[in-house]
Amino acid sequence: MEDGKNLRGGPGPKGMLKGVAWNMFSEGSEQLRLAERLAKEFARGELERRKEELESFPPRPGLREVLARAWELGFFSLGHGEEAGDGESLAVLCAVLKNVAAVDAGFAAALFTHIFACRILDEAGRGKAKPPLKPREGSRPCLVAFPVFDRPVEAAKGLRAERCGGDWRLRGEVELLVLGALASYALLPAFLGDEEMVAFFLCPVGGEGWRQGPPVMGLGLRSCPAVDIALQDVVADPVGELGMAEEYFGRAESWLSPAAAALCLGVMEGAWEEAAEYARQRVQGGREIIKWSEVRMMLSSMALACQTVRMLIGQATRELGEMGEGFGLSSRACLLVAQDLVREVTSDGIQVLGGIGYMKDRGQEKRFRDGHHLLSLLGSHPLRRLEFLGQLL
Amino acid sequence: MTREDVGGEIWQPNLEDMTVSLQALGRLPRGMVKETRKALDHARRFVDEVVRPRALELDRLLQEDPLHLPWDLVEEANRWGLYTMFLPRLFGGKGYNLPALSYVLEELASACTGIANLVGVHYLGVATLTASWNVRLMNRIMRETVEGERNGRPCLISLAITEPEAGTDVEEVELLKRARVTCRAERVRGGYVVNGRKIFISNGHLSTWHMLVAYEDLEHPEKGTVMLAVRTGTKGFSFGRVEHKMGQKACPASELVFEDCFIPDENVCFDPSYLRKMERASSYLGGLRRDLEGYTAQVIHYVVSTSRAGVGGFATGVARGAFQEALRFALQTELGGRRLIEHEWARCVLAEMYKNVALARLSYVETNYANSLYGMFRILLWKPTYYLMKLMPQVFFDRVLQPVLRWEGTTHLFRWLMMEGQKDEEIQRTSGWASLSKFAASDFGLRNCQLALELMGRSGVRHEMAVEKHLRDSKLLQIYEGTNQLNRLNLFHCLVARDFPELRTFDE
Repeated sequence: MEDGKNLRGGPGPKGMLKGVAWNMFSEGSEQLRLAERLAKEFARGELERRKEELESFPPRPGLREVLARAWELGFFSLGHGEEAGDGESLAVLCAVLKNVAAVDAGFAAALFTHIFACRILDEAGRGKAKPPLKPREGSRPCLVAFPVFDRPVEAAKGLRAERCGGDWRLRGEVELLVLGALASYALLPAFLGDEEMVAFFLCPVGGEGWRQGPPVMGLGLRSCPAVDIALQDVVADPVGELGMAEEYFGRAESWLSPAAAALCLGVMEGAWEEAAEYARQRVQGGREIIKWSEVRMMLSSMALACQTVRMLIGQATRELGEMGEGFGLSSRACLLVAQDLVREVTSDGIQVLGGIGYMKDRGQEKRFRDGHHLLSLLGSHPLRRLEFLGQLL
Repeated sequence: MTREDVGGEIWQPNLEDMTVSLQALGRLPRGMVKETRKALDHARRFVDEVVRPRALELDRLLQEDPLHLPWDLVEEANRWGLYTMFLPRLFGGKGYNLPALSYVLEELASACTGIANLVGVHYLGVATLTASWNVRLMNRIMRETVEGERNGRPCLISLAITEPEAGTDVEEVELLKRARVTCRAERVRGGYVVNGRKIFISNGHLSTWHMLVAYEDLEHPEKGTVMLAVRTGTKGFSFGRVEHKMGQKACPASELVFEDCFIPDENVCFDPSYLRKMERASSYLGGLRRDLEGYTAQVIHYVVSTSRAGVGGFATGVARGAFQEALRFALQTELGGRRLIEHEWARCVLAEMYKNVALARLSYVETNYANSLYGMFRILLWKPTYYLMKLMPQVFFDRVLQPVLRWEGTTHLFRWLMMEGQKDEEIQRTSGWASLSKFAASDFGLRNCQLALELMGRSGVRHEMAVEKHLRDSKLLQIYEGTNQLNRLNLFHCLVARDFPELRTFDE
């Protein structure tokens, strides 16, 4: 990442990660440590400090400031673009998402949404000119909104693209457009006319014909706000080849699933650390609860789940190095398992703390909500399980 | 190691424990069936007219303003007679059979567990008061609730037991011995003076009476447990913070603060001196010869055996609510060109959820059979008492029996019947089943919410779809009334370990 260079031509982030020759294969390398340190400092300095503000609903203006800070640090430029073609950058993205998610999974999901959308643009633009992105007037950073909780066909159900003269126009509705209220652009899947083909379209947010509802109140991920939108003949640019939306989505999914799993891992590790710390302090029945073997068993299950996901991410990224694009299966398996386990770990995280864990004063209840919300990241979990089998057979 | 090397004999479950519902056949009054249906109909109408239209809106409001207290809903429940429905006619209530309460709680929780708690927690207070078998106080406080229904000023009862450093510990006598309790009740002339704090007290801010559990001796709480009835407004008693919970927001969790709070003798439900008298009388009269600790344990078991069945009802309700929302979604939503309900895998998920609801319900039903035959409900469900209560005109209870209920002797008689009349194995059976229901149903409740969320994908996380609220609500069910871990240990202690006297529970 070069200083002064931004996401496809816009004014660039300061790029504090500049010059990092990320090498995921040399664990604990200087570069990876730098990324981790930066992510941790950001999480502690920005997210932890503004915890209450970022958790509030509806979102408060402070969220924009934190997004801008993450933009300056270069977090939004990870995982996509020309420099992000191998496993090195993926490892750094995983490290950043994990450490950010340990404090606020919502913010990590916001990062992921933009990065995933940009990755689709990368996939669609291979060998072709990519659509230029410029920040909305008066707004920085230049984010891309995306319905990241749906498969393209599901998200496109309510949206049609019609050709009018030389333009494509979008008409219909999209649910849960993540970052919709904060982004400069939206990347939207839509059915083409009367055909059963789905294509991605890029359009500026908030222009003529664009209506958006209030922020959607959801289970968790409060700092990753979403809105429902209704479009009336909004002019949009097709992205890549028409009818290839699922293909582009699939490629981006194969590439970024370990990063989404790392996001889950951050939540899990956060839950484990708080539970272990509390168990050392809290006394019941005359001894620290960490000395109760049933509590130890729960903590052990949590630690095992973290270790499993850690290994799966490692395996998936290693396969990327060895097999290039053929690593899709491990990558998707890694996310499916992480999404399953994050629910169990965050639930146990509350259980170890008992009533205190259920209260907002601690981090566990937020992790529980975030962890369960993450189940649908990249679309319905059962549907993706069936698709996974489809890939195998 | 072979099976022979292991040696020993195969343990067999106790036949009485296995056949509780069979034993109940013919022993319980038939009138309960019709009465339970009537109670359910009433609850269903309340859900349709009051709970469902308000649940999500109230939850949303409380997310924005956690200090809001839902007085309007309490007043509505009061108007619907929900706070007196299960009070015995003897004390002016409507006298519905107590096992029907779990069904009603299921019904309410299927729409909102928080609102179900606004009603259910009141009966936890009633159960605690009842477990003291102090008939004079029961009569006085329950009649105040009845009067509150008449005059439109709800009179709820709460249980104040949890302390900042002692949650799980105060639910089990074995753990109570080592608990770090701080709420002290000091014996003074004419009553007790209380100092200390109680936390996480459900319905605290909304209740008029608080069944306060405090301790004469903080070093040996198991030997000095005192139960006091504290009225809101008593000098030295105040409310602290309202907790900001993840779910069940309609039911506030309150901090109760006691600073040199004097409670007169007339508000003492029971204290160690009384239990010591019982200990002596039991020994003299050839009773069961429980010691002070044994009686304290019995009171705790009486309470949790009924309250945990109530949690079973809440949990069945939340499991059912999640199932109902998932079913509706599957019927209405298209996936891959056909309705979700037409996918075999989706039907199997829904079948699994249905199973979880049914098993959760069976667990509380069986627990209530145990309570009806061996526990707190026994006296009211003994056929002669049951029909006497049903058939006698209310004026008989309100006028003729009043002086009798105020006699000290009546309390002695009830205590003797209910405490000496319950054998150890009966305590174990009711408490063991109650723990089973509590942890099984609450695990099913959470699981169903997770399955619904999974089935509904991104729609499930939206607040207006109700499932995410059910999920948040369900988690607390695995924690209160003793964590599920504690309840597993209690089940083992009550239903298995009694056959292995060398085993000590809660002490590895």
